[in-house]
Amino acid sequence: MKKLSILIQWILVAGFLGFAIYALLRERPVPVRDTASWRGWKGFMAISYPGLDAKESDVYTTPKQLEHHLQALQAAGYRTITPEDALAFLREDAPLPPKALLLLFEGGRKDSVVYTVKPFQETGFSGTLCLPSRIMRSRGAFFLHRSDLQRIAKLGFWQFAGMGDQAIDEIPTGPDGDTGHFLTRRLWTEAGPESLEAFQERVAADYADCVEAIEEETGVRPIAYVYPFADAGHGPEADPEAARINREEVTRYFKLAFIRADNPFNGPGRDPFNLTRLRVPGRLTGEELVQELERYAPQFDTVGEAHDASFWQVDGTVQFTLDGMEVAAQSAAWLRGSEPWTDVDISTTLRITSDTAAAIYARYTSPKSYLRVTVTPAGIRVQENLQGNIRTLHWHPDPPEIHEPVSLRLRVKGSRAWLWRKDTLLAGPLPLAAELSHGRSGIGSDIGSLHVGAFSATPLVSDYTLADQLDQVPTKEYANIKALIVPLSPKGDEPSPEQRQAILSAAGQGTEMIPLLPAGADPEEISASLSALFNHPITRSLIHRVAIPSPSSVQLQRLHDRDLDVIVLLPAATPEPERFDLTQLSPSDMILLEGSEAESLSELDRLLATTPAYRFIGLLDPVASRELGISRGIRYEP
Amino acid sequence: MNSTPPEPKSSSSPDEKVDRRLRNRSRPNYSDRRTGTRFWSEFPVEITVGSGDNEKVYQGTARDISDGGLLIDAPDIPASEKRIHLHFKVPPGTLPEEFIHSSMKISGEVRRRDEGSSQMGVMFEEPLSKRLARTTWGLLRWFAVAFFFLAVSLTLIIKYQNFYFFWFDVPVFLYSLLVGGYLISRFLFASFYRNPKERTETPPVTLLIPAFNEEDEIERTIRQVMETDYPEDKLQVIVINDGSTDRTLEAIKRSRELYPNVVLINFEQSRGKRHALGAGVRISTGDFMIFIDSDSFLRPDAIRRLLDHFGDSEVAAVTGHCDVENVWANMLTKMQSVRYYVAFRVMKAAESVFDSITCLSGPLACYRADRLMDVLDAWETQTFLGQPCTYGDDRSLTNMLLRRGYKVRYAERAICTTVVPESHWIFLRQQMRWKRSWFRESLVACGFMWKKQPLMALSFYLGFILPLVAPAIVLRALLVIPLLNYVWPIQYIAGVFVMSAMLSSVYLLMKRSRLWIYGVVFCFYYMFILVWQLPIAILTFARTTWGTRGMSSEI
Repeated sequence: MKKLSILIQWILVAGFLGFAIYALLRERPVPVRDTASWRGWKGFMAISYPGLDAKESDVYTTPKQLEHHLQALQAAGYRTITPEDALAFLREDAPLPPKALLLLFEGGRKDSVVYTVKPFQETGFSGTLCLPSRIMRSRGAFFLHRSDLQRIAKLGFWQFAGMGDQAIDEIPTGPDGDTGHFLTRRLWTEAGPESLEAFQERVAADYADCVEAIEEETGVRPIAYVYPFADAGHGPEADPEAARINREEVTRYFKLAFIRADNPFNGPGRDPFNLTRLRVPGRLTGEELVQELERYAPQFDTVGEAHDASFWQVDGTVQFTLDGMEVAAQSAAWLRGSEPWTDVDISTTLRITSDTAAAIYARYTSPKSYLRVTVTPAGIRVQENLQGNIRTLHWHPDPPEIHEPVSLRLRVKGSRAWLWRKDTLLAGPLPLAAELSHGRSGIGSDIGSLHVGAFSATPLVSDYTLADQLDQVPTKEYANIKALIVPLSPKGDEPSPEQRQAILSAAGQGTEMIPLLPAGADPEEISASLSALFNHPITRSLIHRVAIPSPSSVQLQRLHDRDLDVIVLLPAATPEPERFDLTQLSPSDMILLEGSEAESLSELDRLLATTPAYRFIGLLDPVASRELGISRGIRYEP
Repeated sequence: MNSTPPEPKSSSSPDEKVDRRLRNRSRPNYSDRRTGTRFWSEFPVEITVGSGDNEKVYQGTARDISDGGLLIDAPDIPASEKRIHLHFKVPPGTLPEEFIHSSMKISGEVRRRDEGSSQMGVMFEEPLSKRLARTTWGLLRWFAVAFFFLAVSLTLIIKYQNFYFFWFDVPVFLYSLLVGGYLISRFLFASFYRNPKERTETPPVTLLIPAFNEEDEIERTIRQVMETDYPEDKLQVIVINDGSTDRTLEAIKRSRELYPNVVLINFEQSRGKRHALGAGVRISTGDFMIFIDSDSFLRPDAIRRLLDHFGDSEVAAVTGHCDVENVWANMLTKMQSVRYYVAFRVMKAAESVFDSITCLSGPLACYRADRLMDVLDAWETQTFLGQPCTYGDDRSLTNMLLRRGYKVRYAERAICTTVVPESHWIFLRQQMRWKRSWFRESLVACGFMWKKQPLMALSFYLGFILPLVAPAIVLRALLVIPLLNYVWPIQYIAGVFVMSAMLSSVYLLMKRSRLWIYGVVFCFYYMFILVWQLPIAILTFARTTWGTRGMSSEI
């Protein structure tokens, strides 16, 4: 009995020691990063936590809620990325996971690290600590210190981003004790406000100090910067030079900058120094957070209920009632999920006052890049803003009645726009600049208040249609086609008058005509076809792209020499030695994969590892195209 | 009736009434001694006789009380009344602590009256213990169990958190995990402790009582030894007066008048406890030697219960269970009461499961004579770093037996009580002495404990290392981090509270005593005061001048 007891004890001791050795020496769990399988090019969500608190509040999340958030995000398929991943994506160097998520924790708080240990280990997530480097020097257990950072850097779950050195501070900005944000206001000194040079020097030093401090403590130079207060100098109280100075300095020390805090989605082509995050409010369950993110994800169906706040992201003051929304002056409401829209059909019913200047927006990417319809008591105007240069496309002097509902419809397709009032066409097709390619839709009021009784927006179909002959496709169907790829001068003949008319008609309906060059044509034949196409002023001005099957490098060069963008038609199932070298293509060229759905998907899986999705056209069903983020191609059938 | 209490004494412990039938005036065999102990008392009792319109209420005074009845002084109650209803509240300290209650209403039967006085003996309709078992004790037991499991659960939760945040602060979290595991293992192992079957053999036993300046207690100690339930002809009692400077010798001589068979060895000059015991051992005739302190008081069956463990021939020594005698003196003694109980019933019981307890307690320990003789000389002449050892007698003797591979056990049912310090200053000196002896003898034991059973060895080394690092951990948790980081050490204190609750709930469960809360108090006393003694003890443990007499032996 005693021997049995001793044997059992040895087993227990061996088990205990074995467990202790295992626990001490085991590989610490590292975040799940299967980058080889990433194929996402649609964008990423960025959310930030201002802090954690044991008590529930409107601002802070509790540790338990945070745990639920992360579990819900994982269950919904989100996978975390690092700032380096985001940068590679924005530079079109590498894809992301299908549901990419950048987790930011602001303020350099210790509780952000302490309470994420367990959920990170369980979910395989990683996070980015946004450090105001000044707090690393402070006393107390609330903030992270140098020794903490060194330890955290080794854990593998954390990356670091800058949040300024003193940028989190408020500084005196006036003689009466007024204060303002460190980075965007001039410091009030005994001699008055600091000079521009001093302002720039102070701001520059803050960025520099922040980067150096973090690099010194962690061994890694941070590439991302998160603006405290989401203020990079664009606000109404900022110094006029603040935005420029901050932009200059942040680009010198960082590679990414998160300016806004009201929208989590960052799509392809976004300016790396104009990124946005969503500051997660308190009292949110995990499911609610996932739903919120889903609403910001790109939408593909009709969206918008004027009375439903869940569809909108608000700037300024907007009240939602059963009757619709009341937009105050200097305020706007943006449709969530509309950032990547290119073509859109917007319908709205609004009511203005005697001093309202209302605006319907489409293809809005910044305060200096958009298309808009302004409605004032004086009339209706269609304008486009190209980097601050506002151009009026149409002026309709017949104003709507004050306090009476007016129904407007704006359709934007390709390089054209139309405006209806009730069912009457007021303007269009209006030619649009190529620079306005995509952006969000919304409605706002610059002056006065605005009542919006109804609002809906539908992204238009963006399919590429392939046809064997131009006359196969009736012109009345052009309205539903984004771009038509069709042989126009297969034998080097100039387009016939009927063909030219069709090209004109297509352009008038916002449909792009893309000539399909013959397969296997030698360079001379191509030159001849191109000459025939561009001899006529109509085709010369309306054709900017051509399609060609499996071109040689010489053929491609000929096309590029003419400043043409190329759509290369490639068979999906090509043995490796014969595969087309995509490096020959210019950044604006596209690839259309021909073949069965299975072959196309297989080839896309290979290509999307290195090439952005927006450069592909696939002959796939709409759902598959949407999921991959590629354009869809269809063969026209009468 | 024996109705006159002795000289008023402090109410630090229930004042047990001496049994009328003393050994030397009655049968030598105490097999028929009354089962319920009586305790002197003086508290008011409300007596109701009759019922309905005939109901009358009288006031009386309780003169002694036992589990089964009461001796009341009530001159006004008519002699004809046989059935009475009593309402009283026993003051704390009158009865053993498990009898604490808020208020008692119980009926009783008048069993006898003293014709010459107004006193009457009343037998309760049911023993107090039975009544309390049905009411208070049952409730306390469930509360204790729930409290214990809550404390264990909270401990496990805290340790789970420590495991997750381990790499953030390895020293603190590792310590926390190990302490939690060690503590829980004590309870786990102690739950396997079993008492052996009672034996009927009564081999010759020698009881040795070394005394130094114990004039207050030595007579009672001798009396209770002589009153034990053990055949007189098998019991040899040797008292060694080790050069006392007070009236201890006179007290011993007074006892010998009552008990002439008590052997006295008198040292004119103090030679130390080891030499005193050695002298007694060398003239002893028993097959078993029982060492008790001169301020320890045996329960009647303590000797028999010690001997129960010697049925196994490999057992060389057994320590008894020691409770605090003067538990009611003040908060300090109440704290020690809980501490003593846990130290014996949990810690020693856990070690006893592996036959390797690390300290045969001075208040009561029994040795097989031949095994003791093997080590006696070495023990008496033990030196450390060239200096003679003048303290840590119990631990060093235990080590010598353990080193030889003998089994050393704990006897839960061999109960004695001992007087503990009532003054903080004396208590702290005692604790300092204990820490020195613990450290020195633990260093010695490190050399051979690895040969013991695996879990015992692991427990020993953990039990040695953890207290050594405790001061640094406590310093960090209570001072360094709060000062540097402006935080309150709430989590650390909560952890101490949870673990103290675990210990205290055992006391509540087993003793059914409301003094359990003092276990929590003691843990904080340890954390804020006692833990700082260890570094000093370690730095000074080699000095021999720290030996102090007149205080309780180490437990």
